[in-house]
Amino acid sequence: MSSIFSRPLARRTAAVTGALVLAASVAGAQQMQQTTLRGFTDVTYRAGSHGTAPSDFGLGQFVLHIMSKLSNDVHFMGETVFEYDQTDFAVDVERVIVSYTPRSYLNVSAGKHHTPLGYWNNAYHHGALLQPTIERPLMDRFEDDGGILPIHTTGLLLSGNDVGPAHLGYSFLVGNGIGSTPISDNNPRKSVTAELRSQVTSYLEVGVSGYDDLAPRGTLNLAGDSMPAPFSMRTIGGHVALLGGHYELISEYQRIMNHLEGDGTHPNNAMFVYAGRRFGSIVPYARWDKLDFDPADPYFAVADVQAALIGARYDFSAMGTIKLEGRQSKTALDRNRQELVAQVAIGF
Amino acid sequence: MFRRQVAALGAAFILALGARGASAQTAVIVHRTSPIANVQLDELRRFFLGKTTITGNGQQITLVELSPIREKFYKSLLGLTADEVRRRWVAMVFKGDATALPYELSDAASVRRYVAEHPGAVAFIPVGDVDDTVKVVRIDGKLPSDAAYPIK
Repeated sequence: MSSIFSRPLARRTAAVTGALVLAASVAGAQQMQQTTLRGFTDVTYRAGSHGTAPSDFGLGQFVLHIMSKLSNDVHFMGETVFEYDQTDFAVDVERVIVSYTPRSYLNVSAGKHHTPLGYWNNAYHHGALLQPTIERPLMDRFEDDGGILPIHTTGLLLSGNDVGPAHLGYSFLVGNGIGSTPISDNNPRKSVTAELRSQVTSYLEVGVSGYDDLAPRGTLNLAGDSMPAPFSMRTIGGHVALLGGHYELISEYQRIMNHLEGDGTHPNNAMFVYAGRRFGSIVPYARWDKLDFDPADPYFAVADVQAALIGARYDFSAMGTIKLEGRQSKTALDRNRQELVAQVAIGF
Repeated sequence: MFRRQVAALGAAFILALGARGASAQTAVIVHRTSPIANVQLDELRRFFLGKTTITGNGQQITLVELSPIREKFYKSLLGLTADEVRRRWVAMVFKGDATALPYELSDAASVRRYVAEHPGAVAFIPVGDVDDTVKVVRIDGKLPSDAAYPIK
């Protein structure tokens, strides 16, 4: 098993990446590229017990998507985010992907991906416009926003859709693991993510997914402290997504087992349920989130969280929406938090 | 004489109403050589939601929208507004599951011409604008002239 995830694989991954980029550039030289640029941003107003001020306005992420068709089968996708980061605006390259897709059932991509865990993390990216609620579910928060799962992975993805009469889809991703960067890994062992899903009807998707990685000693845990020994993270979970003409339902669950060398295995649970009812351009909705941690887990080292929200979304155009939410969250250590949040999100 | 005139007028009125009803129906059309001839309603929804992107013979599907009837068509087929359908397509493009949004054309003649020239095209136009340069797709075995045709 260890030989599979060792340096030769990293070299092979780099070779395939190089080949893809080379193929893309050759193909691109042969025909005119079709490049699409799109942007997304949002402005949010909050009132309640969320921070120091009783209310405030906040500028969301400013996201630039670039999609370029380099040849019939080779595409490039880039996603760059400009956001305020503690002291000033920072630039994050969230996705850079070169993909080769000869058939809908076969896609090979190299680059920085959203890890194919569950539904939300793949269906919705950094543009707030496209997702049904103002913020992502707690279990799908980004890594720099206190997220508990590896939302992004740099590596090689094999995937496909609409396979056979069950309309199966699959994703298999090998990449850098927890605590690594987009340009290098922090240990020889690669992370592995696998997902199998079925588009049961045009509106209904169900799937199972899992993640496996071994992180080295010194990796920072969620509280910002160094882990005293190597540890492994294994997750297994499932999702259901029903997005029909009237009803919307998205639910996900991941069982996350962290094992510290010389210590036991710590089981944790992350889940959410979102439901909405569409009345033309208006969608009232509700969501419930729960993060249930093993108190002795050395990697998460944070308190349990439970949150609920109700809200409504008004889609005033294909690329513009207004959302209003009332939220309540409760942590094991903290007091209850209530807030009212409004957001205007647009794309162009 | 007068009775014949009244009868003729009545018949013309009924014919006109029938023709109006037929032309108000929407036909799903494809290239004449396309393997798509009869689809189930859910299969057609998969096309227009981007869940199925190739035809039975491996041809890449290109969707074409006739903008004046897009709202009505999507409401009838998917129960969604045209804006919501477009947003889902934008999400798919940036997920990597689609490479382009459906083409949008503003008149039926242009849609018909596009479909006649592109073997993978799937489009919708009013029945009254169909001619023999394109093929009408049966939905659940029904043609637009059938009473049980599922798209209104």
